[in-house]
Amino acid sequence: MDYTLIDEVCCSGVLEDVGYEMNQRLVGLNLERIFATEAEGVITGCPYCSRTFLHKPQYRALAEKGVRVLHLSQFLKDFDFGVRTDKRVTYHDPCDLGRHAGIYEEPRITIRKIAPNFVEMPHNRADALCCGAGGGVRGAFPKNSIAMARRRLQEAEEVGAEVVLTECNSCVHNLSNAKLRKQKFRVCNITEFINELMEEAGV
Amino acid sequence: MQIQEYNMPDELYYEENHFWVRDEGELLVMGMDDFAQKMAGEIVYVQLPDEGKVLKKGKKFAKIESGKWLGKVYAPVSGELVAVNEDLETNPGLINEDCYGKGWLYKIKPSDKGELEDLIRGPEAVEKWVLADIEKYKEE
Repeated sequence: MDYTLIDEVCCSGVLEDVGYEMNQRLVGLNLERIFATEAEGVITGCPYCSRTFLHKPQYRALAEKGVRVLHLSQFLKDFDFGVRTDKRVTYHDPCDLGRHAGIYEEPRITIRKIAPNFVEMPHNRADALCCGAGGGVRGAFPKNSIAMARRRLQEAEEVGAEVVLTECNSCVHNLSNAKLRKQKFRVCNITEFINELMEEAGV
Repeated sequence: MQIQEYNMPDELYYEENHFWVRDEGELLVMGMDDFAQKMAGEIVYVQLPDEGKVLKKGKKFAKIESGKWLGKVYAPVSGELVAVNEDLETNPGLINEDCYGKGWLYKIKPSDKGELEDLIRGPEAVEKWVLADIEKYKEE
């Protein structure tokens, strides 16, 4: 696949969620840099960025110019990575990918290919418990935020997960921070995990 | 000594990012100093790495967060992490309550105690350094 990276800036979508206006300068920089690549599509690692690019009128120019926006999980599901793990793996649905964008199955398709011992937590998909970091909660109410993450991790512990995968950097950050020392499982993004497996296997 | 609103005990060694080190013979205890805990505000998370971790002087080995601040902890000396303050896992606010006592962070077995001499120590040096930092953060 012919791809390139851009010197990206914050999509600034979160500003609107917490009561401010989106930053037009940042929006302009992202659009300019994306268009300069002449790419047909943009893949984002962050589910918040992908939904900002897709749904905020400030980024309408992407659709108008026919630039397709995908979250990484939608892109990965069609690949075969040739690696697998026997570890017990669970998946945490990030709100920005799940409840906000309706993307529940794509990450699971990818995970099942690499981890046959996949197990769901009691609250999953639209009912997934919050990681505690979204919507500015981590910044405004840090203690509550950590407490919410701990409640989520309790479910991961109950299902005996050795790896908690998710698809959002805020979820990874908050869940990793909230993880107690006795909880030995690992928290990371799916891509990161696949990369580790590939490195281990020397692929 | 008291430097403006900050309590900086004389007997401690200080690392330039505002972590203190106390010499307890075989082991060194480290924590966050009063300047850092006041600047950071309420601490909500402290990373507690596994004991046995090898530390290299000047290299980041843990992180600390308050609501508004993401901080890195650098090893003040080379050595081995031999203990962490487990009470901070559920009560990181101990750092704000008692940063030189119950809020201690880590215990280190140094490989060369001589490295302590590279840290900041003594009323004169500490005052000069803290006053400069007060000025620095006022500007920002």
